[in-house]
Amino acid sequence: MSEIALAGVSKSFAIAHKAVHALAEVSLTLPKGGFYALIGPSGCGKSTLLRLIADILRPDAGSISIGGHPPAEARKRHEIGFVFQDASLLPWRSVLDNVRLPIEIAGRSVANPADPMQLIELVGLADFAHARPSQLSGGMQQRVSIARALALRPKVLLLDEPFGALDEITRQRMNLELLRIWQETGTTAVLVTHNISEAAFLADRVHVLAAHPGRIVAEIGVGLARPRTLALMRTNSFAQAQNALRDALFGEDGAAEEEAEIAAGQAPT
Amino acid sequence: MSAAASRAAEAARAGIRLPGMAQSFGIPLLLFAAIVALLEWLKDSGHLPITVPAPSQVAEAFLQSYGDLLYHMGPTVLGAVLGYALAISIALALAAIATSVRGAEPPIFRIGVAIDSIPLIALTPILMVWVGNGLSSRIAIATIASLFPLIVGSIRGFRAVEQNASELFHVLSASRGQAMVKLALPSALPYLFAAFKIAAPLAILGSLIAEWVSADRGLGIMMVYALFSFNVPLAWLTILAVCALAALAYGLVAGIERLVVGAGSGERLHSDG
Ligand SMILES: Nc1ncnc2c1ncn2[C@@H]1O[C@H](COP(=O)(O)OP(=O)(O)O)[C@@H](O)[C@H]1O
Ligand SMILES: [Mg+2]
Repeated sequence: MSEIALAGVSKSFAIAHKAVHALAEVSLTLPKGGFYALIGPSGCGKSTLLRLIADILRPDAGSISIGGHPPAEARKRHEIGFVFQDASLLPWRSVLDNVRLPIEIAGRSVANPADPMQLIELVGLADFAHARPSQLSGGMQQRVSIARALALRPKVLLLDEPFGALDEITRQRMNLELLRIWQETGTTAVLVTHNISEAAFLADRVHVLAAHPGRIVAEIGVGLARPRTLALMRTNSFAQAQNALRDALFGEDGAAEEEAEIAAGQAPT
Repeated sequence: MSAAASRAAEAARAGIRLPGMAQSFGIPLLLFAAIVALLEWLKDSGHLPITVPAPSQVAEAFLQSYGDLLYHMGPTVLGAVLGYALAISIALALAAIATSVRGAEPPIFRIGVAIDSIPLIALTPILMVWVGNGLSSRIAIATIASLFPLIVGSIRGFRAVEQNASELFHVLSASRGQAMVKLALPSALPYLFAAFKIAAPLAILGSLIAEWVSADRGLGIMMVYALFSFNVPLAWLTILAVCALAALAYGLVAGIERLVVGAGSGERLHSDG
């Protein structure tokens, strides 16, 4: 429910004494309540961008604000929910205790946390509340991770390739679920993905990144009506949205080689 | 197929399954009885050398001298327990330094390797000149004997926090104390307990070695006396007692681990697809 704004944000890392420009002069505005996707080949700085918003990293230059405040403030007020690529659950805690963790940590500083059991029901795992993470499949673990990220009713929900490791069928189901949750909670969602159809299916607007240096090369609105269902994926307008993304990623003529590389999950360097 | 036949087929597929108790105690007990009977027979028929007693002779020695055995066990166990506790304290302190001070890990590791590679039986007489031959020498040798695995386990444990988990705690704005109690400690426990389990029998061995060299009381000196007086059954009795102590020490730590860490993660309930 907060607007996210980046202005002239740059970030580089030193790898073997050489500076790698993970992000250069990135500016973007994500109005509150929307669903946004960041898409681009691996290594183009998507995770770095998300980590900057979550105050895990500090920018070298430029400024970031969440609802008008610096990310560190938003973080300390527990307004940020983060979902990692691997679920990153604590293996010694049950599902319920994992979802409860943020509430334990925030203590009294959050007045109105969500009910962990309701969250577990929201992600469809009511029967597994007392199971250990290692007893769950990858998809179920990731759902727990989403429930955990929602525990403090965050104003922004950041998801870093949350379904990247899942098979296509499970991924599709998770996408539908994520949309439902987002609509129920009204949070501002930012999803990192390298999957074109996922980006088109979920987002209101897709920001396309390119590497070396990491930068935003296109911003594409997805004008598909909500609520979105699987039937939508067979429509012409969905195909057009995907094509627009593909064009932005590969150029109008769609360099076939590069596209094949992306499909194989490799980063064009 | 009849119900009985299908049940039999089911059992065959599952392999022979014994009830839990029979599985964990019955089979080892049966095996033990078989070995005892075999040894007894071998000794009777003169196939065993004079240095190996019949089990019945050892049992007899036990009945005769279990009082002595208990009397001598006391200082050995005390030295081992204190040395073990000291080794754990040292290892935790060294691991804390190794994981928090940049560049401290390699030298600490190297010192650990160096100490571990000293033959204890050669070091013990020298150490006794410094610390005397009483409880302090048992503690010193038990500490040295159990230190290295504890250092390795503690360093690994202190480094066991996953990057993502620590980033999660950062995003959640957890305090240092919360990160320690809710993340660092539980992440470290499996590694710590693995080391605790390996080190416990080593501490007993260390205490025993100290007594071999010099002591007025202890399982080690009882063992040496039995050997020099060529009381073969008694020598074997002390050896068995040490084995039992080592196994008990391991079992005790494993029991504490189960209490602290919980019964483990169990079976997978579900998979995708
Ligand atoms: N902690 C880090 N240390 C050094 N280099 C990093 C670090 N994080 C990211 N990078 C570099 O920054 C670039 C962008 O990385 P990342 O944001 O992870 O890309 P993406 O998520 O799009 O795959 C890469 O070249 C990567 O090697
Ligand atoms: Mg990434």
